[in-house]
Amino acid sequence: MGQANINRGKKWADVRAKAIFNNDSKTVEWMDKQEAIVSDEKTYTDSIQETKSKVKK
Amino acid sequence: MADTIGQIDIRGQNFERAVKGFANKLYKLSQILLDEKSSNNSENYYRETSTPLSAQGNRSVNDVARGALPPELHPSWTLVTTYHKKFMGQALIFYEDSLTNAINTQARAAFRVAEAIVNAKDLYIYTQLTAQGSTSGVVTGADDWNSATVANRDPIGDILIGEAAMMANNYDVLQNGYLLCTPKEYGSLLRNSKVINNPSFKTADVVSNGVVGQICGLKIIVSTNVSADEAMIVMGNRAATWKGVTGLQSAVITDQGVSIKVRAWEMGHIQITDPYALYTITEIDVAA
Repeated sequence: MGQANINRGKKWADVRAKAIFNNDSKTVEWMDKQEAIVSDEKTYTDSIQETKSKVKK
Repeated sequence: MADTIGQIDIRGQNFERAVKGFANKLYKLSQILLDEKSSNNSENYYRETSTPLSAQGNRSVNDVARGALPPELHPSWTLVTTYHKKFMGQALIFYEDSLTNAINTQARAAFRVAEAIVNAKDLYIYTQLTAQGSTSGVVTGADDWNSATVANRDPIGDILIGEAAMMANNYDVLQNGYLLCTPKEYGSLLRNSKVINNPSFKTADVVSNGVVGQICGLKIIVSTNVSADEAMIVMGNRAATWKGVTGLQSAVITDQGVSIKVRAWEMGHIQITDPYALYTITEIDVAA
């Protein structure tokens, strides 16, 4: 899991939202294509959720 | 308490006046930006759509029939507006302290305040470069550059794939390309057998601006402001522009007999005009 990708994923969430607001479909499409980053961020959020659920039990 | 022979308070002590224990961080990222002056609040430019124009519908630019009207082509531009940022900070030193402190607090404060501004600017530049979408690519390296399996390390391959991707977008990165990397990636890169066994690797130009050599036609800049686990290829003076209102300035404001304020500021912002002139290689460090 790439920490740099996770950080970028967080930054990109804002950039993507702004691109959608600006009807900039090319940027949105490009960002969605960068699978490694999207999947890294998902793995990270999943692992956080998992840790949280373990703590609750 | 009065001390007698053998007790601590009467033992001799020396205090050095120089401050030690840290090395100044170096700031190197400004040099890759094209520097332009600005005197207005917002800066605007038009980004031209890069793909070549083609005819729409059933028509084609190629092979128009005799006597037929030409197909309509529609060039397009996007207006991009950016606004200035002010980087600023100050330190307050009491009059009494400025005269009687063991170390020269005013000089140190002036240096550290100015450093804070430069640091914030450097970090801002890198953050903006990585937040950019629609670049030539953010691509996972073939393997970690410091992989335990030595045969799998291939930094040169990763860099060349990046250069190829940028050149495919018509940015000839060999002209003025930079490779930004962390000290760790730099170490991993140089100890790669393809690099150290190559007699023509250019290590000249070891100068204070951090450009320590060239690899695959790129000048290397090592900076601690680059995120861990990644390296970035940037086309210098092309990918981004620094629109500066004022350069780094500082002032000393004296309240006679009471205090001294040391203040520093800079105003400007970055415009990423050519996102295709950026390429990032990620996941290249085992530990991160």
